[in-house]
Amino acid sequence: MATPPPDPPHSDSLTSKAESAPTLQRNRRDSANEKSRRGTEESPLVKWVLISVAMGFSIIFLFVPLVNVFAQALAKGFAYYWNSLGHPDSWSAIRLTLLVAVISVPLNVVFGLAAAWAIAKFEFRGKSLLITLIDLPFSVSPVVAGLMFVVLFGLQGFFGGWLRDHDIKIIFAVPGIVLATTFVTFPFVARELIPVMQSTGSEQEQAALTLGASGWQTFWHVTLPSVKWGLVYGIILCNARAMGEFGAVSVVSGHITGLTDTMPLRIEKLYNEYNAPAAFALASLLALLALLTLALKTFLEWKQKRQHDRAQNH
Amino acid sequence: MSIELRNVSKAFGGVSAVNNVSFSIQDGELIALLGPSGGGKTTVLRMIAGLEMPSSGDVFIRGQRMNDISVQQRNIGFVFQNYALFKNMTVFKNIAFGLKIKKWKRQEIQERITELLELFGLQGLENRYPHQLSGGQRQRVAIARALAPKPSVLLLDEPFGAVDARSGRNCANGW
Repeated sequence: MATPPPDPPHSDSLTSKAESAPTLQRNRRDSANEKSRRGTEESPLVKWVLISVAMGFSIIFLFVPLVNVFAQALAKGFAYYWNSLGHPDSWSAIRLTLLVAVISVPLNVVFGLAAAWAIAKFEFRGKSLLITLIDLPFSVSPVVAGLMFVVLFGLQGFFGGWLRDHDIKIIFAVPGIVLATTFVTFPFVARELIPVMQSTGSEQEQAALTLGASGWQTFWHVTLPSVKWGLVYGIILCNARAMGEFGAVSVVSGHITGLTDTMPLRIEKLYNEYNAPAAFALASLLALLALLTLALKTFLEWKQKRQHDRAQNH
Repeated sequence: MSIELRNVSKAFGGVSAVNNVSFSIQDGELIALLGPSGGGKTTVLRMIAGLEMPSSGDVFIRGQRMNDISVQQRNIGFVFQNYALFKNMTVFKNIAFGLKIKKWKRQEIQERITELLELFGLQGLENRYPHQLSGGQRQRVAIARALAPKPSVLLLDEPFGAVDARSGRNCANGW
């Protein structure tokens, strides 16, 4: 009669009545698996150290500052908080931020969709160049991005003379801010869409073509619905960055209070004027936006995973 | 002559997938292209459908030269090897897609779909999504979708692909 091997500490119990040979073999195999599992897994100590470090880092560098923003914002009471948000210059900063987002996000949706479709569905010369260009705003420092536009459109810039002759102001005016923001947030939508489009492949679109659909009908009825979660996710990320962008906008904006100050710029200005609670009040709005973005992101990831899992059960 | 290929060749990069193929198919005929995998059968089908353009040679459908005619205008039905059902649409919407494009009236679409659902034994499934169907059901939806707009040519790519070898031979014999 064969005796089963002793139960390893964490295994599910498969080793109850091991009399027959197959069961014994299975137990031996499980025991071997158990040993190899423990061989590749870290010891509990290492696991807990790593978790503590990650949690500690998140708490110190992320959670505490975030809570502090709200604490500082309410330092002088809720009335002061509310009034500072209603200050005309803060209010125009909020309006400008919203305006910039409302222009640059849809622009980037169009660019992103077009770029993603071209990259995912076609082979063409210059494709890798396009992919590199899309990632360019990520690798360039935002300040450099802003300077780029100053060099192009500033008074001494490349187009400066022409713009001045036609009385068009780009730098130190709203158009410059929109341009800089659009540039900096360009990759978000495209990078979300490219892998999604690549994984769905083009067979569904080809099927639509055989059924008589034009290119546009195919795009609208087949392509777009298949990428909708990736698209919304990309829009949310793009929007969060568009509203929070500081470096590039700081260079091109001119910091004209009430006219070319976006929320991040106004926050900096208020803080430099020693009005910390007002600065934090405005910052708390951005922090709320960040939290909302995170919540939406989590929700969408969950939805996308659900859709993906369903589709996988083919 | 319903379909005719004359000296059709297709090369992808430097690789020749189809090399100087000619054949003709009469109206009402049922033809199977048999051959080893990688032999170019799918490429020939796609060239007839218009999803690929021949590198050289001509494709004729109903006596008309098709080389410059787009996929949409060829009025062929194509059933893909992996069915390529529209994942975000119900069975009903999948089958009705071609009819909606051709701007059929709602009533006509309803009648045609009902007819096809009966023909393929898909009644009761019209509100399901592709991921809620079995493989065989998906195949039937794919065929129904291709047949719905009453095409003059029906092309099926690897229709026995999901079937094991012996059954496949039996299917081919029964076909």
